[in-house]
Amino acid sequence: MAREYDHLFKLLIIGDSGVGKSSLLLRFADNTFSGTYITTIGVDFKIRTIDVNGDRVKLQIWDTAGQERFRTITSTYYRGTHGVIVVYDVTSAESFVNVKRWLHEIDQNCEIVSRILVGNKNDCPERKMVVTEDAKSFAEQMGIELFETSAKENINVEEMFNSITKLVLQQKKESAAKLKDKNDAQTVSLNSKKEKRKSKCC
Amino acid sequence: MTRHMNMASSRGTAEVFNQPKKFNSKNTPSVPVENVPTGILISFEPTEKDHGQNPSESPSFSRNMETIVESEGRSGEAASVVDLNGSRRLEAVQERGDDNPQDQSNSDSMATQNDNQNATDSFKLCGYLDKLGEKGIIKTYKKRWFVFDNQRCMLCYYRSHEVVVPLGSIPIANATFSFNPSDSERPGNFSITVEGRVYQLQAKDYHTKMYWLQELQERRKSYSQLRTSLARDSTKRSSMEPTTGLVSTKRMKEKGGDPWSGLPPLLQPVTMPLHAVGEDTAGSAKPGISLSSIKMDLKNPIVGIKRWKSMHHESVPSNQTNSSVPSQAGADPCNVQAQSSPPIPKPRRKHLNADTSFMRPTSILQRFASNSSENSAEKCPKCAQLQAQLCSVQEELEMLDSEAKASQEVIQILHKQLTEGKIQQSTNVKFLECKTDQAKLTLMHRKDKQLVQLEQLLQEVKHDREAMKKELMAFQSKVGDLEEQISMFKEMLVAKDEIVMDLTMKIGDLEKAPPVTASSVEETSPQSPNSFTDQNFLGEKVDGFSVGQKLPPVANAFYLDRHEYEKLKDACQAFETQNKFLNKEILELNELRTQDQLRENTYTEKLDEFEAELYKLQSKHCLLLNELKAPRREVTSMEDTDDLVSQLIEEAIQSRGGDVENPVDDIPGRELYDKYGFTESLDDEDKEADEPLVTMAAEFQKKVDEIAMKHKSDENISHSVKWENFIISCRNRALVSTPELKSLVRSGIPHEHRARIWKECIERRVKRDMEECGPCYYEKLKTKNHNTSNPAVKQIELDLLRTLPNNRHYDKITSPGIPKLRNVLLAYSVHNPAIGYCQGLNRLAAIALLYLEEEDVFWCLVCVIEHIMPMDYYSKTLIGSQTDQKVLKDLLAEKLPRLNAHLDQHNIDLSLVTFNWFITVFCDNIPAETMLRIWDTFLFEGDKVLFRYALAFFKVAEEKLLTKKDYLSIFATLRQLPNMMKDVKKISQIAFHDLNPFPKKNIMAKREVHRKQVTQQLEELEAIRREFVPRHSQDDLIGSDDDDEEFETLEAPPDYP
Repeated sequence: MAREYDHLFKLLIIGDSGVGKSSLLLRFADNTFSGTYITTIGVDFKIRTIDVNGDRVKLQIWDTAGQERFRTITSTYYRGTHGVIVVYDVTSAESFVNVKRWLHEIDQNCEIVSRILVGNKNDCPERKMVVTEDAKSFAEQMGIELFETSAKENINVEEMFNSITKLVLQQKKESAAKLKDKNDAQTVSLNSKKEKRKSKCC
Repeated sequence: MTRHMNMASSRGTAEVFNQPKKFNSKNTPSVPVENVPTGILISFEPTEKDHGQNPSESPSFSRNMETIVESEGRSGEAASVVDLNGSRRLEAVQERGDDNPQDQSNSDSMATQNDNQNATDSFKLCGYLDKLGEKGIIKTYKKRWFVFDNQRCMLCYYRSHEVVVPLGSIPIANATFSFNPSDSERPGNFSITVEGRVYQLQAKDYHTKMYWLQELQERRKSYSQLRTSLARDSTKRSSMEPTTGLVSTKRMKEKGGDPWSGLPPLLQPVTMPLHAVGEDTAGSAKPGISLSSIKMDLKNPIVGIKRWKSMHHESVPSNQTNSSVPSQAGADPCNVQAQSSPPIPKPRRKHLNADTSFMRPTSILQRFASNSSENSAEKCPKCAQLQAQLCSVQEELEMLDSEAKASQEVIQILHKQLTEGKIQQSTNVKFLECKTDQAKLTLMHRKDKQLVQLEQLLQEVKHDREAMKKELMAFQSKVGDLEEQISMFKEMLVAKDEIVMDLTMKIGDLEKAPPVTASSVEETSPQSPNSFTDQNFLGEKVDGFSVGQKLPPVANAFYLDRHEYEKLKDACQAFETQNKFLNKEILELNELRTQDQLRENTYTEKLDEFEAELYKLQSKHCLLLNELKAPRREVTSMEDTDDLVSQLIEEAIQSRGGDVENPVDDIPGRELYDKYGFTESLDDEDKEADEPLVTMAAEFQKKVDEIAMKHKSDENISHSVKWENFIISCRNRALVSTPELKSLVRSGIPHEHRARIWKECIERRVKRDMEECGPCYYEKLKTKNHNTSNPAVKQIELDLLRTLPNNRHYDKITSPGIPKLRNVLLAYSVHNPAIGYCQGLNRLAAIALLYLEEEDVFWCLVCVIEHIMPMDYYSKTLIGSQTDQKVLKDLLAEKLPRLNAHLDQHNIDLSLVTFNWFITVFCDNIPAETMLRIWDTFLFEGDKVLFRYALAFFKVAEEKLLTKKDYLSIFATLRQLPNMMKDVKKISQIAFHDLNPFPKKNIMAKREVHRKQVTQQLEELEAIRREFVPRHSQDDLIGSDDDDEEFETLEAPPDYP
């Protein structure tokens, strides 16, 4: 039986409370928008299948709670995650400042993961607090791609998700090739730290 | 006996005068035509004797009748006498008011007739009534023929009984009846009110009116009962259970038999007034067509024959107008035959009038017969026949008697002849013995002399006899006259007594309007139209009574008071009757209302059934169409079928538009919000948008469920009654936790009592805190908010609109719930800074705010966070809530091992789903009804119910989850799990019964174990972080912030700065 998808990826959306994580997910999965989406407590997830370069990719996207104290439990969500979408609110400098903390969070929980930075609510230039240039330079510094989106106006949402999917797909192919190399080389080059982390996740 | 007959029969003749026209034909202007009473005139006939009647010709009783009959045709004094007397009687009767003499005279025969009436339901209710016209400026009463239509429960009225097309009809089914007792001028007045319209009707008299009202009520009731039984029967028709049918009919009988059987009858049943109601009254309104008399003929053949005879005789020309023995003598044929030879032909001028006069004798005859035989059943025609036979036999007997007498006479004559012969023989012998002629001659001489002497004697005796005869006759007539006079005086005395009464009343009336004189009394008295000896006599009487006027004022006042008293008494009586009637009417209407309600319920049930059936069919229809649609892609040969299918699909989808405007959804707000303020479409996002048919099928199924739920709520009436009783029983007392209350709460707190019970549950737990904090604690906390810079403020503000966006109390920033929610959450964050604000608390507060006041909600949060939930449930670490997820996993393994194994096999982390349930107390996309039920038990019993319900949810979905074989679909199902939890009853049943035993010790022990584990894990995680952060801190742009944060996470962690 032919599978209805070629790849199944798990994506995670993180970021400060109220930056629009759930809205992005709803826009992408259901193409709907509601100004007031109920607060996410714990996690929620949605599924959407997209075509990337002829491959059918099924995306399982997890939406997480933004409040700081839920971080302790969101750590369990990182398990098996292929890509993480870090969201900040372009109208809130604080949420951009906190991006760093979220990136740390990823580093703590996952070893190999694709990341993408998303500045949401980019639909009202008057209220924009995080300048695109600053965000871009920060993203370059961190070595991740930046997208400025609007779930409300459906700007860049598709593109952003397509991009992270491509990243994940690419990484998957790379790691597959690596694994092959490793198997060929029969070498283990894991340092102690990595081993410890492995016990935590993946 | 004869005397009695005389009275009765003459009384019967009064019928004749009942015909108004006859009175009109005479000069009696003082007597109102419509007030002509019936059945009087008893003793006034003897006076006529003075006016040219020959007393010797006929027995007195028959003469009375004759005079009456003849008086019609006869002009002159005799007639006027009758009229005058009659009119006088009228006055007396008028005073007596509703006392209808006719009915009294009829009462004996009525008793038996009444039985027949009651026995036959189909007795036709009809008769002439006066109806007040509705059109025109001057509204007048018009005589109409009213017929009750049993089938349609309508009172139809016609111009007359001969007309087929009705003028109109009055629906009686929903009518109310009433009458005005104070309207003494129209005692027969009553009104029927239907749908705001009032019909004013007037019966002949009071009695008739009451009879009409009684019958109409009776018919209205039975019609309603019939309709109810019909409605029931049609409901039961699907279930052919004979027992239920029997039960229902039995119930109908019990109910319909006599709902007032327990009560004494308010109103005495009114007997049917003769000649006022019924088919045979058709002609009564029109003089000249006497149907009733014909009917009577059939009843009593003797009278019929007599009448025929009299009519036959009538055709014989004769001038003997004054001859005696009228045909009425037939009233008692035996007596007639005993006293006189067979009736002598008697011509009359108006045979029709004579016909009507037969009616009375007939009934009197019947009455006599019944009196003598004491047989109440002789009403039937057979008895009448027997009666007739008896009479004829008696006749025969009489004839034989007379024959015997004649024979005796013959024998006596023969005896005389024999003795005569013997004497002659002896004389002859003597004569032969005489030898000489001389001797013979002397003997002859002697004999001759003797003969002459005897002849003379005979002559004398003859003379004597003649004289004696005359004397006897004279005496006889005298005796007869005297007897008549005695009776006349007796009657007159009675009449005059009444007149005196009447006059006394009148005096009283006149005294009211001073000044009053004796002459005015005479003038106003209506008895003075003619100068007549009797009138003079009466006048004297009046004068005699008018002496009362010359009495001192005290006596006058006494008369006045007396009169007043009598009047008031009458009025009181009338009002009493009206009151009784109206009371009965109220009871009747109440009964009707109950029946209507019963009917309505039956129909509603039926409607719901049909509706559910319809939706079920529509649901199936949609699914079927969907099924048919599927293979179309592959099978191309069946194009016709495909076309049909697609057409049907189109139709189905179009018909949905009509369904949206279904009367079921006629409440405009209903579709949008339920009674808790939630929008109904919570799960739209998960519908397969590309399959409208499936969606529609689901919708229809939902409607079926709704209807089923409606019926269930009907069943739950007893539940609400229990609650009502409970609330009443502990109105002023604090809530005491009893097993009874526990089970009540588990079956759900009714919407209307929820606020009270919740509040008491909360206060029971936080009583001590409240006392410690003192009064106005909440108010103080609110003011504190403005002073301190609370790190929770920002997050709270952010979450306000995201708390319950699907509830209209929280969906806009202007919604009333929002400021309250803000106040409560801020107050709590100030009250307990260690917890501050945790997402999820906003939902708790929002749900509590649906029922409780702001301050009570604050205490509710205190109660939940600090009392019900274990430690650290909402703290920065959430250790408590994380622990409970592990506990739940253990319990799942215990209670639902299969499911647990299945989830383990697919590596499902349940806590991803269940964490929300616990931290928000199931305020997470769960149907409001279910959620509130959980809240009821949660607030009453504590945190254990969270495990109960969580496991119940899994139990409900167990089979479905077991069919899902991969990670994603299992997760998808789990995600949809809350939405499926609609059947509160079933879930509660599982939670509180199927999952037992459910010991708290077990949970506590597990909590202890897992808490240690979770704490340990958390510490490890923190250790990693601590290790990780310094390593990267050099690269970080905002590393110093991180350090602070890391530190605070463990000690007193705030939110992001």
